[in-house]
Amino acid sequence: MSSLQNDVILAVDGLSVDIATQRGTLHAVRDISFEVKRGETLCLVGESGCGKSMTSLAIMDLLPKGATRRARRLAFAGEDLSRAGARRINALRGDRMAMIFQEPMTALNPAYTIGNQLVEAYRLHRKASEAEARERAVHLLGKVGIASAGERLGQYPHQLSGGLRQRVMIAMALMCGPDLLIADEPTTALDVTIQAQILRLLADLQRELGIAMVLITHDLGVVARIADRVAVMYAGQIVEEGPTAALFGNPRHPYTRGLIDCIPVPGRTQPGGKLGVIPGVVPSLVGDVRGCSFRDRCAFAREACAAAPPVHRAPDGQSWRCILENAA
Amino acid sequence: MTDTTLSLPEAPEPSPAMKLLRRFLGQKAFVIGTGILAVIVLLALAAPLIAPHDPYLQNLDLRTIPPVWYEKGTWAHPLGTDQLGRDYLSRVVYGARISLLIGVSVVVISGLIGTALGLAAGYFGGRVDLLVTFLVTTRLSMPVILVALAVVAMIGGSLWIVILVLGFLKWDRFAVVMRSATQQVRSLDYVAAAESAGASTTRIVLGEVLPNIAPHLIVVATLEAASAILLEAALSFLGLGVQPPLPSWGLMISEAKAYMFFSFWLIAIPGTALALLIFAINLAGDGLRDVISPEGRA
Amino acid sequence: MTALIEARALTRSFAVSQGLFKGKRTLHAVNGISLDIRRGEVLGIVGESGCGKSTLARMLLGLLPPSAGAITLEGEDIRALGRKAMARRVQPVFQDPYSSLNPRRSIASIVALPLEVHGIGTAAERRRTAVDMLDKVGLPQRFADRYPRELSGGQRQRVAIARALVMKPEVVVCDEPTSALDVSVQSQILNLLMDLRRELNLTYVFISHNLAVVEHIATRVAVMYLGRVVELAETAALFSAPRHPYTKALLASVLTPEPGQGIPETGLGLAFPDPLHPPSGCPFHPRCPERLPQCASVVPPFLRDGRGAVSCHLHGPAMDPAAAH
Repeated sequence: MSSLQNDVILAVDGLSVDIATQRGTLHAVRDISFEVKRGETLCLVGESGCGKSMTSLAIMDLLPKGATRRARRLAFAGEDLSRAGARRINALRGDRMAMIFQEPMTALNPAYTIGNQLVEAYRLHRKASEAEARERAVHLLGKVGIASAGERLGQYPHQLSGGLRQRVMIAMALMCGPDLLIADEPTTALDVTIQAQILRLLADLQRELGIAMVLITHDLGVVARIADRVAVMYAGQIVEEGPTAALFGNPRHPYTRGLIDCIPVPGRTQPGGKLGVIPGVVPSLVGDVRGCSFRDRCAFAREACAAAPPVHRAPDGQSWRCILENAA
Repeated sequence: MTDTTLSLPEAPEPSPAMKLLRRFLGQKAFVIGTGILAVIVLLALAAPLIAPHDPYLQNLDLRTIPPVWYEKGTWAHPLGTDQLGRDYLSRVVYGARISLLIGVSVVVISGLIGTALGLAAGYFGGRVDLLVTFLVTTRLSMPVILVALAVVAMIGGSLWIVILVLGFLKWDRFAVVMRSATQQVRSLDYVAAAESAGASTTRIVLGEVLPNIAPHLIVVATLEAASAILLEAALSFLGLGVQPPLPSWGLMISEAKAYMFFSFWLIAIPGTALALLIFAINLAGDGLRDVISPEGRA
Repeated sequence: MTALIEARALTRSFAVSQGLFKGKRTLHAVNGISLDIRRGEVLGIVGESGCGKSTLARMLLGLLPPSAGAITLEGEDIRALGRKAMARRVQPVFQDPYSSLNPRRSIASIVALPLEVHGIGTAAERRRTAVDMLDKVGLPQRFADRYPRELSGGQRQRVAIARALVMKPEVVVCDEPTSALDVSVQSQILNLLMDLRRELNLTYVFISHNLAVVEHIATRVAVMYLGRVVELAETAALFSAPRHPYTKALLASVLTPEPGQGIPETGLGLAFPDPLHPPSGCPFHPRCPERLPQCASVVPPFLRDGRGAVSCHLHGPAMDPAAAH
C-alpha cells in the first residue's frame, strides 16, 4: 500500500487564503482539499476571482503581501510544506516543484539571455558546471520544440515570439526535472493556433516525464482536452471535482452545468440561438460567508441552501458540494 | 438575462466623495500641509484685520525693536520692528499676500501655457508633438534665474514683471506632465468612443481628456507654486524682483542682511515664514499625489 | 442583400521605429482588403493577434484614415460624409470595458453623450432616452447615477452597448466585445447582442479571435492573416468545408469542451506571424502544411466564386485539379 501512498505528489488538505483589505478580510480560498498523483493532470477551473490563482500561489508559497495561508496539511511528496521553513521551500521551488505563468515576458528577466536564465535555474539547485548546465538547456530547448537551440541561448526574451517564450518558460521549469509542475493560465496570452501547440507540448512532456501537473485555467475547452481530473472552483471553494469525462458527461453541481451551457460549441449549440446564462454575480467574499455561495444564482436554490451544503461522492470519484444528490 | 440582480445583503457603500475624503484624511502629510497652508492663506486674506500697524509706516525712533520674547521686546510690536522702524508682524503678514499672489499668478499663467502645449502635443502627436517637444527642450536649456535676471535688469523690476517673467518661464513641467498624461488617456477607448459619437476635438479634449488628467495638473501646480515663491524670494533678495517698500519676504531678508549679526530675527522671521509656506505646499502636493496615484510615487 | 458598407483595396500602414539608429520600417497592418458588409448580416472577422483586424475596425469606424483605398457607406465615401453623419449610422463596442467608459462621467451621462454631441433633445429628454436604453440592455434605473468603477465588467459592457445604440445606428462594429469577460458573462452579452440585433434590425461587424463565438453569432465570416483576408464564406460553409489551410488550422485549434478528443495537431510549424517582417508570396506559406513551390514567391489572388472567396494557390483556377471534384 505504501507505493500507492507515494504516488501522491501533492496533497492539499484544508487550504485557506485570506487577504486583508480595507473593507475586511477577503476569504479568497476557503478550505479546499485535493490530491495530485504522479503523472496526473489536475485542472483547477473557474472564473475570475474564484481563487484558482491564489491556490497555486499558496502552494508555491508565493502569495502577495497581505495574503495569509492556512492549511491542515500541504504535503509535497509526503513532506508537509505548511511546516517547512522558508529555506526548505526555496530549495524545493524551482527544483522539484516548478511553475509556469500566463505571461512569460514578466517571468523572464529581460536583461539576461535565455541561456543565462536556463543555466542559472539549474545551477541554483544542482552542483553542475556551466558546460553541463548549458548542455541540459540545449537538450530541453530541443525537447520543447525549439530548433537551433544553441543559437537561441544567446538571445534575449524580447527577441522571441510569445509562443517561443512560453516554450522557453516550459524548458526552464523542466531544467531540474521537477515532480510537480504548476501552470497558471499558460496559454491564455497566446493565439489559438499557438495555444494548441503549447498544450500538446505540455501534455506530451508530462506523459513522457511522468510529472504531476496542476493546470489553472478559465477555459473549459482546455480542461476537457488536457485534464485527467477537474476541480471546479467557485467563490473560493471547490464545488465539484471528478474525472474529466464524468464531470463533463454528467455535471452534478448546478454551477458546473451552468458554465458548460454558457459556451458556444460549433456543431453542438444552435448558431444564433440562446446560450445558457448564469444570472446574478459572484458574491463578495469579504467578511463572513455562510451557506452555499452559489445559491443566489442557482435555479435549484431552496431554504436549506442557507446552511453549508454537504459534499456528495459518487463511486466513480466525482464529488460535489450541493444539497442535490443527483445531477442538476 | 441580467447580471444585475444582486440579492446578497450588502454593507452600505460609502459615497465616492466620502471615500475620497477618507483617503485624503488618511494622509497625514496632506492634512498637515493643507492645515498650515490654510492658516497662511487666512492670515494673508485677513491681513488688514490682523496687522497691528501700517506695514509701510516708518518710525526711525523705534528701529530694530526685538520681538516680545526678547528682554527688550514689547507687545506693541510682537515681532519687533525693522531697520526703518516698521512693524515686523504687519510686514510679515502683508508679505504672505505677495508670496501667495506670486505663487497663484505664476501657476495660472504657466499652467495655461504648459497645459495647452501639453494637451496639444499629447492629443495630436506627430508634428505638433515634435514642435512642443522642441519648445520644451529650448525652454529647458535656459536657466530660469539667469533669464529672469537679464529681463529684470533690462526693463526694471516690479511685482508684475516678476510674475510675468516667471509665468512665461515655468510652463515646462506642466507641458511635459500634461503631454504624457494626455498621451495615455488619448489611447483609451472612451476617447475613441467619443470620436465615434461625432464629438468635436474641442469637446473631447475638454470633456473627456482634461477631467481625467486634472489630478496630475493639480499636483504639478502645487510644486510649481512653491518653486515660483522661492524664485521670487531669490530675485527680490538679489534686488531684481519686488522693489521696496513692498514687504516681500525675500526683500525683507535682503534688506536685513546688514543687521544679521545684531538683529538676527530680522532674517530669521521672514526666512521661517518662507520655509514654512514652501514646506506646507510641498507636503500638500505630495499628499495629493499619493492620494491620486498611490502607485505612482517616484 | 445590398452592400451597406464597401471597402475597396483598403490599406493602412504605420511607420514603426526600430530603435535609435535603425530607421523606420513600414508595417502594413491592413494590406489591400476588399469587403462588402451587407445590410442585416453579422460579418464575423477572425484572426490572430497582429492580423490587422482591429486596424480594420478603426478604419470602418472612421477613426483611422486609410493609407490607400476607400470605404463607402451606401455609395458615399465616409471621408466626405464627416464625423457626425458617420456617427449616426456606425457605432463601436470595444473590447476592454474598463477603458471604454470615461471614469469621471456617470453611467447616464456616458450613454447620453452621443445625444449631447448631436444636440438632440433637452438635458432631461436625453437622460430619459439614456435610462430607457440602459433598461433595454438590462440595467435598471438605479445604475444611471453610478460611476463606471462601481460596475462589473459585464455591466460596463452593457453600458458600452447602450451608448452605441442610443443614436439608433445601422451598423455596430464590435471589436472583441466579449474577450475580456468571463464565460458566464460572455454568454449574457452574446444573447443581448443577438436580441438587440433582431429588435433593432442591426448590422454587426463582429471581430473576434474566438472561432466558437464567431460561429455562434456570425452569418458570414472573413478570416484574416497578416493584413489580408484569406478566406470569406457563409458561416456554415466555412465551418463545414474550410478551404484555406490557415482556416483549417484555426478550426482545428478550437478546443471545444469535449473530453476524450485530445489536443489537436495543427500541422503548423514553429514559425509565427510577424507583421513587421511579412513573408514573401503568400503570407502564410512559412507555416503552411500544404504549401506549393510557387507559394513563397507569388501572392495568391483573392478569387471570388459562388462559395465566397479564398486567397490560396491550392484553389487557383489554373492549378487546382484536386478542388475541381
